[in-house]
Amino acid sequence: MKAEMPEPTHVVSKGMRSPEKVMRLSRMGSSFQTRLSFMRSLTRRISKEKWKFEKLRFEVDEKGYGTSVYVVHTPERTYSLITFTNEIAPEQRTDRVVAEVWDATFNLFDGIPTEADIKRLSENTPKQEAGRFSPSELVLARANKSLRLFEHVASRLSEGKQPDIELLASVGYLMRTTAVYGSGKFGCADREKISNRSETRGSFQVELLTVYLFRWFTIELVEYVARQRGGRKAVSLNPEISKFLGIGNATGLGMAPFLIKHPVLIHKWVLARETALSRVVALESHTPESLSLFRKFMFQATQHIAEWNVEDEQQTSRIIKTREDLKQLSNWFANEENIKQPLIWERILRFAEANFSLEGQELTVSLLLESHGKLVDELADDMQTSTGIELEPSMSLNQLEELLQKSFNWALEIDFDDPEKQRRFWYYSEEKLEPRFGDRYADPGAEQEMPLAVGRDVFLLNKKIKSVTDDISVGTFVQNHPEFRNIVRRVQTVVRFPYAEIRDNIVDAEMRPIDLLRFKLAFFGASKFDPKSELWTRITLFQGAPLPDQFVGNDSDEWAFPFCPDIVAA
Amino acid sequence: MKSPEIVLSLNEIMFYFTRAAVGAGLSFGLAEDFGRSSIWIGASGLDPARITSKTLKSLDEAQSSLCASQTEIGAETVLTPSGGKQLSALFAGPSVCDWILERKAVSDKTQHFVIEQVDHPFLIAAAVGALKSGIGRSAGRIPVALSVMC
Repeated sequence: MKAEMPEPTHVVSKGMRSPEKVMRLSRMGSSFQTRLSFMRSLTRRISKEKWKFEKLRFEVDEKGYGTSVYVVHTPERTYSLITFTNEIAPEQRTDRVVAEVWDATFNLFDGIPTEADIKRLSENTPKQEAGRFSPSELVLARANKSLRLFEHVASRLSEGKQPDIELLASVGYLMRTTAVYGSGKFGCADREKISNRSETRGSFQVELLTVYLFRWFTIELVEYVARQRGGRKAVSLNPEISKFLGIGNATGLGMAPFLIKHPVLIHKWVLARETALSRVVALESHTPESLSLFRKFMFQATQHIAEWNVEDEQQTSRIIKTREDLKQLSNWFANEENIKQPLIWERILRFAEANFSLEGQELTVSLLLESHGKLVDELADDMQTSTGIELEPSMSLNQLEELLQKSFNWALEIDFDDPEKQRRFWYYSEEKLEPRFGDRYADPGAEQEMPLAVGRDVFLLNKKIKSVTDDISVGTFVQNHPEFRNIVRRVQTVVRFPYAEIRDNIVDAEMRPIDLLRFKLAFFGASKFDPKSELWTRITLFQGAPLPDQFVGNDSDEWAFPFCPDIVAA
Repeated sequence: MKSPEIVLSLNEIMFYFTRAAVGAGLSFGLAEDFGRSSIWIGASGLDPARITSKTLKSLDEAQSSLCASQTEIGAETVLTPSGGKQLSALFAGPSVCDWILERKAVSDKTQHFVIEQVDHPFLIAAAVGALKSGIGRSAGRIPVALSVMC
């Protein structure tokens, strides 16, 4: 009995970058946001569908502590951000997962909450993981102030002055989120509830809508506090400064296993980006408009990268190299001979691949997509999936072995008998149920390892298959060897999705989880990655994005690569 | 002591029940199948914790076995525990689902599968229910006559 061999989806067509090139940790860890990033698709939808925003409740005291409800009306539904702000002692303020109090805690509520809902949430939301939520709540999150910037902005506005722009640029946000939970966490609504709604079916749309609404709230809050202090003397933030304020975020290992546990989804994300790139580089001719847009975004990116300063030495040297790459790109583009010839976009990509660092290359990809919205934006609609990881028990073991040889060479080439090739392991902490990254030979808990070491498990599966002499069915094989059930069904599924698998060893002694984080956060649309170690990074979300009252004209989607507004504090 | 009642999301059922099964000694692949069965139980309006806890306990206390032999006897396929213990439904459930998918690939006639000495038969129904309702995979229409013998 033989099953039909699963055919790989023929997606890697002419002009597309291969999975072997794209799905390597070093390149994934050099990713930049693109037009297809989830924040960008959210703000495009807000603009296109003319979502209406409303401040339903703002019951806070003169210091800014209390309860607020901010509402967004989409064409079909209404969502509410319910925020509780509290006074906390400075020594209690920590971004670490062990924190028990926060400056702000909030939910995205499905619809408009009743008084009873708000009362129920007021008793649960401030407790975060220790609270309990219902399917009416789509998201649970919390944030802490940047005390330095929040106080400075409140103080300056209360005196009738704008904040110091250099200080503002060095921080970039008034508050930073330390966790944003969705998809059924702590009793919140499961993903299934919203996965068929047009406005929320895209990846992480409710989580990012929550952050977007919260950003609006933080700006209104600091202006309110300033008015309470300064009375008539107080002024509002300059709209360009408001726009430049994002929301900070501290992201740790919690995000990393997601990429390995959702291979088909990751394939869809990368497939969309690579399809977009292939469409752009296939263009034989170019228009004055596309040249002008590319030039404009190259200028914005240059400014943006010039303002990207971090303490991390490795990232600093990468940023310096990216600045040099951008200078080279600018020089190339300034050469009239280069502009005159056909296939300019493909030649730009080839020039970047031949001369730039990985960060420079991925930034170039982002720029190429940025200037071709009409070719690219529709692909954002297909960046989600309902495909699960399925076992095909009727497949023969020989067929499974063929699949391994064909699609998992990258794993079979790694010598997992070398202890350093599996020094690390992933596990959940008992205390917070948060993913952790351990040293197999130094830390306890390796027996509780999460099944994320795909390369190692493929290596072991291949070894076991070779020890079986009969050509039995996969069903019989996994009945005899249930320890391989998980990896077998993964192999059988992902061979149809070429961009599904990270083609590197994620338990290698040298593995840097920060590469996984950056890849995912770039797809979110984050910028200014500020690695604090190999395990966590700070980022800014929605910096440069229009606020609810700024969605006017056609430039509301042109907020990529934000840079500091040229405004002198009055 | 009576525990407070908590309504879990489907995501939480998958997370906690999968890990409980790993803790009881299942491989991660079988544990995920158990998580899907538990979702089916929860989505059917029943309490998955109450229904599944005895099965996990049987396995944890080594009263049930994860070893079985599968044989074809005439028109029937029979799954029998080996080692003198009753057969854990945590093993038998995925086995019958695999058999269904394997048979579906070659014939759409009604076929018979017999599971002998299974510890908690309801979990076999839950595994097939999860399969047929597409929790985690797509099964399509599968004619099957299932006999479970305790």
